[in-house]
Amino acid sequence: MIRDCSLVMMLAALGAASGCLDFTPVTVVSDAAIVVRDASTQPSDADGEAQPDPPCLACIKSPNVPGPGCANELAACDATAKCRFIFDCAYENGCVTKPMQSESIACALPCGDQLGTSAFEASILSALTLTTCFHMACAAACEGDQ
Amino acid sequence: MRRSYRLSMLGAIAMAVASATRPAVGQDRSGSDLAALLNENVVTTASKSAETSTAAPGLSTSMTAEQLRRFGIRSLDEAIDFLSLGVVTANPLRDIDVGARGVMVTGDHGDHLLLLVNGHAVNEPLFGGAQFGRGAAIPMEMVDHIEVVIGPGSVLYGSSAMFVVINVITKRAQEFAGFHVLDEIEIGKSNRVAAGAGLQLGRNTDLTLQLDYYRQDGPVFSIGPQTFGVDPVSGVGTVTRRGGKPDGIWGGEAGSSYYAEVPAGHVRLSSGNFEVNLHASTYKRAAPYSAATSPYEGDFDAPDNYELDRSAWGDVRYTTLLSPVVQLTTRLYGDTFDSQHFFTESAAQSCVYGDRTPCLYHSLGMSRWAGVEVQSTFNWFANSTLVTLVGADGRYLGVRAKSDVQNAETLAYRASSSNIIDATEVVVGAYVQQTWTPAEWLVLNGGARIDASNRYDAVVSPRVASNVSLWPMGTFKLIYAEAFRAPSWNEAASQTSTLVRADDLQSERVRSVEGALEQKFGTHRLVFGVFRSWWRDLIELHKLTNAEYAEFAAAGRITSLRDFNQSQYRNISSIDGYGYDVTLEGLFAPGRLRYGLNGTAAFTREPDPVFGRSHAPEVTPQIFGNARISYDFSGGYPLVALAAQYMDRRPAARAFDGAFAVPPTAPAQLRLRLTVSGPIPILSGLSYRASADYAVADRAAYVIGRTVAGAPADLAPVDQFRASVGLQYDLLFRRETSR
Repeated sequence: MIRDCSLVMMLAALGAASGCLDFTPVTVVSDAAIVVRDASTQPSDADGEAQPDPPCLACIKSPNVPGPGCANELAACDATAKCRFIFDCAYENGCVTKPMQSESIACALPCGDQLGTSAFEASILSALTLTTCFHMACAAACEGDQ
Repeated sequence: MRRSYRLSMLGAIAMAVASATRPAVGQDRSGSDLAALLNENVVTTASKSAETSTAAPGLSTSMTAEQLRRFGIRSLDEAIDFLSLGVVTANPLRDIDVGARGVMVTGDHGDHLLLLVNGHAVNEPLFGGAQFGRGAAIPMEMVDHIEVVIGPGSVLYGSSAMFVVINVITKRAQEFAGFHVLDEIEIGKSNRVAAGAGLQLGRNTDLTLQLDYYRQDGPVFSIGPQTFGVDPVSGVGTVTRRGGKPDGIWGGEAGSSYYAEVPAGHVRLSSGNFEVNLHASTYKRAAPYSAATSPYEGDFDAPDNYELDRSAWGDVRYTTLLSPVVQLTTRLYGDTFDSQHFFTESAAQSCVYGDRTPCLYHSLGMSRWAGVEVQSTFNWFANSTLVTLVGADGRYLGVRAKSDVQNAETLAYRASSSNIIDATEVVVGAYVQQTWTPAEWLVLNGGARIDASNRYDAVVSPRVASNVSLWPMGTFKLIYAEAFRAPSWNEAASQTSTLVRADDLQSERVRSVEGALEQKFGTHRLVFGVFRSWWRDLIELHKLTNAEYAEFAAAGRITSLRDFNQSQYRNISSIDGYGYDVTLEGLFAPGRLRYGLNGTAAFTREPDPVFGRSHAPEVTPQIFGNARISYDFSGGYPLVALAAQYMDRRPAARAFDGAFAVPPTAPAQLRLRLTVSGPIPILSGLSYRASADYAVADRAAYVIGRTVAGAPADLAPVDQFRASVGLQYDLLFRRETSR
């Protein structure tokens, strides 16, 4: 660790705006309470692209072998209530039909937010694994009409 | 060109470079040869000793103070574009990108070239870079000359000297005698005021200093508009402005977000064998096209989106002649640099914290280092035919960084700090260079440097060069050199919501072989050079694949799942290139008419798995150059100078990231500058300089805003017309009173 105001900093006195920056890390204790949302801020299908998609869901529920399907990942997700909630919420909001995985994630973030989830929770990792699977295995079924 | 400087320098080094500048045996030196010698550039950067550019082990350009004033040069990037050979800059309306010979790494903070001021390396270790625009904070009136040496230069300078070493040499008191004040206005856009002095404090002591303040506001650009559409998080139109409507429209007039402010000062004190340099500056700037989806994040046209750099450094050098053979130079130096970046994001997708209040993102970075360099020169026969240079440089540095996100209205922190870096490093380098002049027509130069750190593997950078002068006034150079760039701390240790920390980053490497033919015809000089270069292990952001993302997420290495677009710095890129450089310059009418022409043509390609095939590097032109002509009417009449810069069509930044079926290119650019300067008769010491700039193309090689598949790219605007006028008052002392 180095000192913010070492001797070298004396040179900064020549500058017009010398001073020391505070590099002390900020720690924020996460509030696990569920964020209550106004209905108007929920994900919507206003763009006309995001819709629940039964063929897509059918593909996701199909066995991995011979495939295409993500039954294993879905089962793992089902094992945690939070993951199942996130997936159901995301599916209802059409997030599974987004053409890009990043868009699916962005679409589903409010669902995770409602649970106050953190990045490293098993539920989030399971949801991510499921997302990766259906974007790889079920792209044709889920994004076929995009 | 200041002849007094040239004469004194040439006198001092005449013996050292005699073999390189001397005509072939048996030939008398004619008047035109002498004129050519007086018109010779003197450089010190290529081999850390004074020599003519002809004798230097590399292609170099030396831009004198008079050239800088004559052509209205106000910053380092302008000097490069209008006067130098082989180097070119690009302006994204924020930090200048610099490239050479068809290679440029956009957004690299200038860390592929080394900037020196009086031999002091300015590049800092957090980002590895330096500024080359106004942010370089170099008081131009105090500049004696600028040396630009093209090609790998790590053999003497270590990391970052990959394609260019630029050395800014400031004036001593005898060239800057008296007091100087100036005000230069770029009409409707900027103003710079400066005050400086050059004082002879004793027989062996002199002081030069200058204080500068530069402020730029505007111009106002009309950006877009672009349709950003629905925000996937809010479900309604994307909000692109602070307090804006959710209409998904980005762009309009950027009237509040293009500004810069640079206060700076430089002091040079020479006393006997000692020389002290002190420099301090701050650089605040903002880009007019910030957007959630662009490299410059933030709400559109928000004046509070800005970056602020502060730097200060000091350098104490002691040079002594231990014997007629041995010269010892010891240099102590210390630098401090810090950087702050602020921007607000009102788009819900860029601020997912459970409410709809905008986020204020705030990043801090800091680096400080101190070191000592000891260098000895052994002039074995005291006639410069066999000279050995050995040196060692050791430095201790520390870096710190962190990033925070706050509620933009309440300033409450939304999350714990991220991207926390708090580390130290020891870097040592040792170098040796041997020059040998076995015959009047042959100069050989060979050397190597080894650099090691506790952060990356040791790197050896060799160079061998030969200068052959077999015919009158002609020289052929052949050079092989290698160079490296150590990964910056930002690349090696950063970890953000969109960036996974790098794994074992190693140094970038470049190898280059080049040959150059230089021929003088009286007061005219022609240089033609060819080059071939290989760049390996270039560090680039790699976008994680789905499988990699899942793997990193499972391993707990992804700090936030709020953004799926994760990247990681890796040694993955390479560039191969070849091409040629041409210089023609000279003077007519006893020095009144001067002209110059520099041109470079390169063919560089980098493989690109994402794009699917090789392509030229982004932003940098493959064909570029500059031309200049000036005439000094004298007798109180103005000095008129015209300079031009040309850049061929070139691919835009982000052209190959997969969004465009046809990569967007920037149109060829021709910039013209007419400068008129001279004394104002009504008051002795008062002079003026006025210039007008015109850029033919109105778009630069930077894609701005959103990249949408199938949609045409929107390119960054160019400030096409600029006019400036400046007044300078020089209060000169008579020599006897200054001593």
